[in-house]
Amino acid sequence: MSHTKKKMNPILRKELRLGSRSIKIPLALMFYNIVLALIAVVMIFSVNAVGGISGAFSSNGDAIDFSGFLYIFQVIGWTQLGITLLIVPILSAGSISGEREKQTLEIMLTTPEKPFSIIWGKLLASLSNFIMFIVTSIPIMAISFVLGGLNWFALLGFIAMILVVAILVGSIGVFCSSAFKKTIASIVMTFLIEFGVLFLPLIICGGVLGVEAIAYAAVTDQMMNPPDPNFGPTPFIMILTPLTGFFDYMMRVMNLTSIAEILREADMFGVITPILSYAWIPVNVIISGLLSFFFLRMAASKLNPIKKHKKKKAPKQMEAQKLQGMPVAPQPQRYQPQMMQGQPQMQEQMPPQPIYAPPQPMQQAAAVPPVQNVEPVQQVAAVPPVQNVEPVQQAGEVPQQTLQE
Amino acid sequence: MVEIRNLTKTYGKYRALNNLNLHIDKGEIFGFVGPNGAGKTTTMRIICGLLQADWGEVYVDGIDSLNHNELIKRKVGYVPDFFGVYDNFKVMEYMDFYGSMYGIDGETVRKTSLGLLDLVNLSDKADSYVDGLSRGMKQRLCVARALIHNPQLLILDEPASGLDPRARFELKEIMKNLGSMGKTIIISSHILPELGEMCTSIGVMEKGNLIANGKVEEITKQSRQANPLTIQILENKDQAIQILRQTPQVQKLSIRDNEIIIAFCGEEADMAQLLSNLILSGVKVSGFHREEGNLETLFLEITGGEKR
Repeated sequence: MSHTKKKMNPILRKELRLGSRSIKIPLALMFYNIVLALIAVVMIFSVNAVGGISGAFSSNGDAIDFSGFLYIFQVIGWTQLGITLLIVPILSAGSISGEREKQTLEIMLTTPEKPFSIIWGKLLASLSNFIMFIVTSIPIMAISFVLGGLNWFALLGFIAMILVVAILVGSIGVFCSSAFKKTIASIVMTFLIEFGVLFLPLIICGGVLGVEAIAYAAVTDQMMNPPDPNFGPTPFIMILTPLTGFFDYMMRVMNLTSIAEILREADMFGVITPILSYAWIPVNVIISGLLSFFFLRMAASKLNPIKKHKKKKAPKQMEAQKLQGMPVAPQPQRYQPQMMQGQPQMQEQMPPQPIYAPPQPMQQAAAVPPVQNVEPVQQVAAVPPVQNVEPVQQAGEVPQQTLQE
Repeated sequence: MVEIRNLTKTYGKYRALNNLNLHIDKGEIFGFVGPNGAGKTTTMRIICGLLQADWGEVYVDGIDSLNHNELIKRKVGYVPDFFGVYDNFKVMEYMDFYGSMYGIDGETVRKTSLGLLDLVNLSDKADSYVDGLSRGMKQRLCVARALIHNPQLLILDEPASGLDPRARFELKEIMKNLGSMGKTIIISSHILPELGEMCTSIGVMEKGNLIANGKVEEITKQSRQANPLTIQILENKDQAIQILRQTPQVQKLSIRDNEIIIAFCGEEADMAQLLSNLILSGVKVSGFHREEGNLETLFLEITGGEKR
């Protein structure tokens, strides 16, 4: 067993191997790229149509308005995001629950592979499929580069930003998959959490900003020199919202005013906002990463059958009493050989059989832990000999006990 | 090899294991018998670290299993009561995957797998897809899979369920082979006669308690003593009845035509003595036998089931 050589995560390796045999992913890829290509074609024609008015491709052959093609990137980029938010949950939300349904999860858990490593492998496997979606769509994305406007770094940046989103959504998916037994429930919950994490803060912050802006406009409407607006902490909440990083990036790529620039107006702390403007994407990426890690950790802890913090301990007196009072399955009678059915009276004088172990009376369980203010673990250690040892004395008692019952 | 002390597990208000104490020696094939819900699977799952006990201690090979989960996982191979196979894998790839889960390098896995597939008679299927295997083959593949890391303890939960007699026979042979290789094996099953043939010792569980535990011969002998003695008589029945009444070991006696059925609490020697007494006094005995004790009778008696 060599652990020295760094190896590929076994789960990832397995998923890649199995995935390469499945027809589903190639079909999905084809469908995905057809949709993207259709959108691109429609965009090209519409840009041409608009360009036609201003002279592009027109019969008199004036200059073509290449900036129109930039919008192809924009539209396809946003479409990619939308499809990411739809596909990644489906790719990831079945990862653990699928194993559970195939009944292979238990076997996985009997191996020394750590739960986090299993979760991590599953995330990587989902993302590897997702990356195929992105990579195969590069030619379509590249239309914007061929026809004008953007450089390749913008495309790499775009892939990086969408990966950040995909990792977060994938982590949510793997978490749900680990937390819910059925794949369907897991997919639904992934979408709900995705909405809660990605969109809800955005909607709330956007709403608050909108209301504040309207209020500001109403107040400063008649002023000659209106004061700077103050949107309070809203911009700082927005920077923590995972999707804003992607938004910001898309706006920067297009040389539009970035979110931070827009919010610069809302200058609560004159110094911080410009920094915010530079730090927006890095901060946002880090926040996304932390959130992803949080979800992955949660998933791993859901997967782990043995909770480390809940080490074995004798029940406290309270629990023991509760256990005693609880409707426990009735104590089975100790086995005594009987005659065949049909000669029921024959057994009367049969001696008790010494081979069988005595039953463990319920009361002992309650008697185990009672001393207060003592380390519970020590109690357990102290008890077993008492319970284990004397089968012989008890063997004699039991028949009467069973008779009474 | 396995030492369980005061193991208790409750599911909500139901107590699945109630202060279970169990000791299994190294090299034993231990059969777990008991009705559904008796706590067999729960015990097995706790030993392999798939379930957390409420309290109690489990030692496998001297290692505290509840606190050193990962060490234990390298010592225990577990075959659950379902297959848990990936249909799109080939047999070798399946073995390779689990080998990699144990951190074993590819070359070693390949060598070990070939040996194991040979052991479970699947060598010719190494390149087949798991999907195409029969139930019995899948079950054997699972056994091979559980042995990939050369565990000292192998745990099989209901391995024989759903298998035809032929597949069960093959499984039994594999178990015997493994036993002779010095592996400790825990098997739960409800197919009792076969368990009796395979195992060196058995434990009978009911409602979370171990109610019988010992070597197979002792247990079956015990249950045999409970079986009635049937004597068929051709002539001199009255004489025979008189002799039987005088014999102290005879406790109860019933007569059906020329058949006398008695409850007899003596040993083999007493039986022989009784038979010679009968013959010497001129009774013509045409049949004299006692039902063989088997696990099935024992199981039915213990669990209060109706015998057909």
